[in-house]
Amino acid sequence: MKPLVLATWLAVSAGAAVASPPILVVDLSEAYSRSTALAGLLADVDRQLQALSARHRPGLDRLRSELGKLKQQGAGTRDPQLAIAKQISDIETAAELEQDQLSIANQNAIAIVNAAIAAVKSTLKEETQARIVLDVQETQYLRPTCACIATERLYELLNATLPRVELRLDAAPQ
Amino acid sequence: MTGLIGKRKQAPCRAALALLLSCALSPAAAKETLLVLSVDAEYLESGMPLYGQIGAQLALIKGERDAVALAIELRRSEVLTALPEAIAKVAQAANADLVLDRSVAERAGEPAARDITPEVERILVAQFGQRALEIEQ
Repeated sequence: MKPLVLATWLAVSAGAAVASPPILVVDLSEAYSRSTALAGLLADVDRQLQALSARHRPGLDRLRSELGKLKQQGAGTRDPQLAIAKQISDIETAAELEQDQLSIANQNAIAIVNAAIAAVKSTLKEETQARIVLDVQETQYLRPTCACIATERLYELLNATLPRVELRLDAAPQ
Repeated sequence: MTGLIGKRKQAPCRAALALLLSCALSPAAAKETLLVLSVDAEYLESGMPLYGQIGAQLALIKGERDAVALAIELRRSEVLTALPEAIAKVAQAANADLVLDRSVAERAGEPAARDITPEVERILVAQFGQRALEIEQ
């Protein structure tokens, strides 16, 4: 290769490799489908809710049916009615408690993902030497073809660093 | 003699190489430039005289007060809905990459970004300034 051609090639390729805008913008609006951790979390929460319903629903349905029959039988069945109402209330309380635990576990998992997103933004900033990484909500207008859009790279880094997040139902609130 | 000619031929190439490499590797050249504009979002969202002008119609229009108040709220909401479009219109005309609120622009190291607030306001005033309220009877 002739020196001038070589120099040009080196200059162009080196320039292309490091050229990056001083401001980066990321769009996290599709995080629940683009982040494998969040998509997995969503599926886990859904599974847990279905399991919770499957655990309590048949018992509740049976007791409500019994209660309905007793009510039709009249005032003589007051005590059994009260006993069944108490059982229904206990099951509902237990289900609410489980739901609360699930909600806390979900929040804890989301906090882990949020921390990973913050770390990924720092990495993105460092690797491109950008001054700042903005969320798209922080912008008033963004050209759709702007070279500053770094959403793809963000998800690439996020999915590599946190491919999955665990839904820990036994964990205390963070 | 041949060697001298050879060196003379190589000199421009070396200079070009040095120049190109220094350009390519210097941090200044490595940064892709963005055209960033700014707006005073708070002013455009709530401080413009246009909002006061719309609100003042409550005292001027005869009719059921609640219906007029509702029409004013709807009009303010229409202005807010049109705001992003107005910003985009100015940005596209300027071939800008980004429009940031003034405070965000400062945080992003772009304190000198051109302020397009007056242009955006002009568009909204032209669009809504003379439009009569639509009052449900």
